[in-house]
Amino acid sequence: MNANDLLANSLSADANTRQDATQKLENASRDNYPEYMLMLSSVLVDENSPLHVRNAAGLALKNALTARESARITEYANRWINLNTEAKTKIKNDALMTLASSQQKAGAFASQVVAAIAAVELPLGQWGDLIELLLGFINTGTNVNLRIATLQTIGFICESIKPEILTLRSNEILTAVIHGARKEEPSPEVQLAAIHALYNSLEFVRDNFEREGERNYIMQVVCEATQNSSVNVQVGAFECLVRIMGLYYDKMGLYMEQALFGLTVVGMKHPDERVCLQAVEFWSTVCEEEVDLAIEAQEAQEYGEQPETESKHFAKIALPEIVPVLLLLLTKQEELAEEDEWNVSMAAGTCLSLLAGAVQDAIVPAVIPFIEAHIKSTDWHHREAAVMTFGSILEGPDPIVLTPLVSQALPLLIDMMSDSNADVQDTTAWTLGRICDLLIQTVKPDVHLHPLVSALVGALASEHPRIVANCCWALMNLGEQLGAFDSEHEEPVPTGPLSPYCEGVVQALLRVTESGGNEHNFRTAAYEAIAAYLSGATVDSIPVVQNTVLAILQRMEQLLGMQNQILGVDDRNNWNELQGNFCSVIICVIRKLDAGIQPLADRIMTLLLQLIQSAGKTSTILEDAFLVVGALAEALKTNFLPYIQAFLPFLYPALKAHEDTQLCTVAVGIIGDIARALGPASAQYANQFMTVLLENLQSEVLNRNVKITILSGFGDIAIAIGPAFEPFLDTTMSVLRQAGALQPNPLDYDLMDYVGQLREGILEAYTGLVSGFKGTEKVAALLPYVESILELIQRCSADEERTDAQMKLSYGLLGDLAEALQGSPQLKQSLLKPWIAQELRTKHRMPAETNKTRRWAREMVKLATQ
Amino acid sequence: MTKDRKATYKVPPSFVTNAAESQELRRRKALDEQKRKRAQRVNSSRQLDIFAQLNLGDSDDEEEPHAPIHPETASSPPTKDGSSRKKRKQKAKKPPAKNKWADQCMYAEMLEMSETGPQDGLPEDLETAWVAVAPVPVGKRCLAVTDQNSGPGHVSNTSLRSRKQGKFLMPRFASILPPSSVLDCILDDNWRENGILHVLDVLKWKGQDIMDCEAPFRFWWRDTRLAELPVSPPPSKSGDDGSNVYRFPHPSRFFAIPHHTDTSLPSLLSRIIPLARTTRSITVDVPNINTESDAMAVDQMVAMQQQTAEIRADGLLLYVSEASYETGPSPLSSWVPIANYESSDIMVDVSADGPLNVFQRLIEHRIRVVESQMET
Repeated sequence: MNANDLLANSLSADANTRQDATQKLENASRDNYPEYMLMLSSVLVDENSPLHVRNAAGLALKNALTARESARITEYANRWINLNTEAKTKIKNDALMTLASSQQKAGAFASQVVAAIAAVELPLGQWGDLIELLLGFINTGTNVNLRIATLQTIGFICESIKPEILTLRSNEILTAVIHGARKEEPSPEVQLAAIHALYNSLEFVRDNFEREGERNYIMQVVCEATQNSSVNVQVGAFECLVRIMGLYYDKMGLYMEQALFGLTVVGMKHPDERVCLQAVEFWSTVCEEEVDLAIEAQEAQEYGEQPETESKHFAKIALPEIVPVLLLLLTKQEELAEEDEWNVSMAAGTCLSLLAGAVQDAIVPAVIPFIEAHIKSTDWHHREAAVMTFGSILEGPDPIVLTPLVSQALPLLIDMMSDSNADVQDTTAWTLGRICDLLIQTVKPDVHLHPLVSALVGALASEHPRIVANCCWALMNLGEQLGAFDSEHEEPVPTGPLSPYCEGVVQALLRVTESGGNEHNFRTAAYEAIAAYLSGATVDSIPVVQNTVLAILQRMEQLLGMQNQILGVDDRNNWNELQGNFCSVIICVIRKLDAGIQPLADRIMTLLLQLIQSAGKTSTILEDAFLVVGALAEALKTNFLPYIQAFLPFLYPALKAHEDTQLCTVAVGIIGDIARALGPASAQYANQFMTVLLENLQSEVLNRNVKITILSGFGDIAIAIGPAFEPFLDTTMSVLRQAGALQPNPLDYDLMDYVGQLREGILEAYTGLVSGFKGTEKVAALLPYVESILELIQRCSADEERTDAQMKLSYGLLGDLAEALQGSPQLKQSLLKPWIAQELRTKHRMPAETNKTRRWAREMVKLATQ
Repeated sequence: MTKDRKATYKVPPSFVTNAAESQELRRRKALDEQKRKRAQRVNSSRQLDIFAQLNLGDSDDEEEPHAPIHPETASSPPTKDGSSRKKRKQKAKKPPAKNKWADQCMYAEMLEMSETGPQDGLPEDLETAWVAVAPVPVGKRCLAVTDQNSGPGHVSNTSLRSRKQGKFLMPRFASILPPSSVLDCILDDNWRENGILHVLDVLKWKGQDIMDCEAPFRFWWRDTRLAELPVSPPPSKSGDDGSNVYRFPHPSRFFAIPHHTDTSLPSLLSRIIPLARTTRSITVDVPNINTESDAMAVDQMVAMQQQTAEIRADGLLLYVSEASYETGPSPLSSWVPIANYESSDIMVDVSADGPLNVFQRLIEHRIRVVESQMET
């Protein structure tokens, strides 16, 4: 079969033909790469070949040069570079010649090939004359097709190559591109190609944007292009404006006043949806920039500095002009919108919520009349738009401003959950979800809770997964905001506002999760909501917790039994996700019931071990199963002992999965959980644990963050087994000293962050070690390490960015040391150093708990130094 | 861009709907939980509330109902000399109780006065920057704590916690105090007869923390809130001790100890100091069980009898007006008792030369100084 046929077949409608052809092409590329590439380029350049065959040839060339996976990218690049010069020159020339093809599409195929070769060669400093050649085509050529294809090529090159590689040529590239985009350019197709190329080059023309004259010219050309007779050029020009606003916000003041403001407001009213979408997106981008700048300004103020870039409050200034347009666009919903559609009303809704974030309180009076006028309209478009507007402005304005409005609207919104139109229902559910999330204080338990819960639970039966997902989320927010969470309370809370609804809501959510599907993730959301209710359950709802966990365990059993029926990837993913949901709920129940989980412990552990065995190498399942084991150990304390032997054989492989950061972190955490749970009884496992943890520390593959967890784990083991830790003391201390010596480069923020977390881990480890030996006969074994411990505390105290966690740990550790080794003259000498008194005298503001620890430590140090 | 916009349009946040993100959240929660448990474990080995033990003599006054409110005075006033430190050290080795209610009362220091030295020891700004509380009744200092979620009066919502160790003074009982309140109190010596709990200060009222408020405000708050409490009938069931006299099973009346914002020298001399010595008489209703002891069980139909409770005075407390409530020993509050605690006799001899007498003489002296200055 000749090359043309083979290439034609590679695009065949018949799958078998296509696969066969693709296979043969692949074989050819492997067996004889030079000949394969030469064959392709000669087909590409051949004006007599059918267009679709030339298309296939261009595609095959491009695919032989670029790949998605990084390993392949290098492999392909090397393969090309090692090709003999003669072949490379021939292929390049073929591709460049094709740019000038009389068939515009052939030129487009070639532009991709040229860009792909450029992406390999330019970073290596090769093909030095390419850009000059291309610029020549644009500036001197009269061949319109050549100019279009060349501009496309430049666009592709700019898109795929790092800006710094092209900066030397950026002036010329920009000149050529801008030249093609000018309104004087006779061919709209050239203008379009030029605008697209400009879009792709915007990032590396930063220097040109700094120079006022050049900037003015670029902006003028882009603004004029928004008025081009070709809608495609207009769309492209607006795309450029969006990107320019994102990249060069601080330079836009003048242009906003003179042109952009008016152009974009008119653009939002454009009859062509594509222009309209970009104009709306322009304002979304403005709002995002200004929200970021407001945050920056606030941060700068806290440090008493000036922000780098100041907000020009374009959104606030433009508010009276753009709000009416956005509200109008909101009413242009499409009937039965396609799943993956993006339309003007959606874009307007997004823009409105960003606008609320940017202008805050000012949005409220601007939209309230619209909401009031339309929320009871007979036209569902207007009702939906009114609710959408309301839901979109709930974040940004001061809650004090919003509270009375939301209180007033709640009964109406609750009623609208039974609106005849599904879109209205969906938007209402989402709005209620946001209210429960952001403004829970407006939901009065005795007034609103009953109708609200009833409405949301009722809509769980909806046939529209979108609505169900939003209702689940709203219910989850209610549960999280009104529930009782034990860590915040000393004693169990007897009852709460959700008590009367807990059972009904959880039942309804369980029904939702019985469905096989998960469109719009409604099932995942339902499980999350169940977890929220169980975690927040008050004493009078504990029976609901108990019954639910029984139901979930039963589902887990069933699902484990169905393992053999899994067919294909989708089935497997679904299975995995469900098991994850179950684990999530079981963890919440264990934390809630604490020691009360004992009667179910056997059953849970049996299921978990099955789950772990069935997980194979699916680390997400393993992680979830381990998290349950950890929670169970914490709850059962020494009653966890009977399960350890069966569990450890599964834990060790996970601990050795160094390349899997998440799994390894979780596995290391489990060691701490077990140690805390068993206390001194964990001494029998200490040797195994310490061996594997120390090994892990030496791994070059293991992520550095896991190593921090390991250090904390040392502390957990030490505090659990006390003096039985002595055999590991020296090794551990020397590891900690080494880790503590790491000093960050003050300019490397990532590293500084890491060192901060590392120090926290080391302090936790030291604290565990000192606490473990405190009050035992072996306490003197700590003496040789006092100096290095104090060194770390001093280093931390000198760090201006020290976190509160570090501070509290430092104080605590000082106190522990002083208390543990009180009476030792050596310790007394060490503690008398002035910096320690200074450290403990600090009076600046700190959380009460930290201050308490500090005062305690000060007393301990006083006692040890008198 | 459009894809990102689309992904967040009118849907729950991705951590709710995305399995991977929700797992990530789970993982982080587990790590936080581990950190929290770890800190908990360490803190429990630290006895952070150890201050409760530091200022005390060896004898534990907690169990003695008649112990003075201010036990420091049992030994020498707290000084920074070596012997006192030595005592601290010894005490610190003992495993102290860890209890969140231990040593939470704002505990006054003895006002150190001198009639011989160049300084009289009274605060310079006594007239302008202090507020007085008198007469402080004899009794046992404690905290009254009510639960978070129970309505008043229905269930056993209230506990009394000893000042030093935070132990229960008696079983929990039902009171008319609102939920989530913490009051600094003195349990009347004769509470079984009169049912009185004296309220000295307020830390928290109905969930509202007012420890950070200044002293006069706290006292005003205390007075107004206590006045708004409904009058509750005495507990129906007698804390029966075999006699046929009614015994309160727990305190049921809450009286504010009078406070005085006018601490000018004349006011102190003519009003506050005499008050600080005076036995207060308070009229209380006490069920009469002499006649119909069976009716008691049915409650309600109980005949009441008015009785006069005699509240013996212990002395005078001074608070720095600007000071917020501090837990534990605080120099921002000063104690001027009627009697020295050296005398073990619980029957206070008013004529003996106690701190309050010294205080009075020093005030008189200051008044004379002021008068002489005015004359010249």
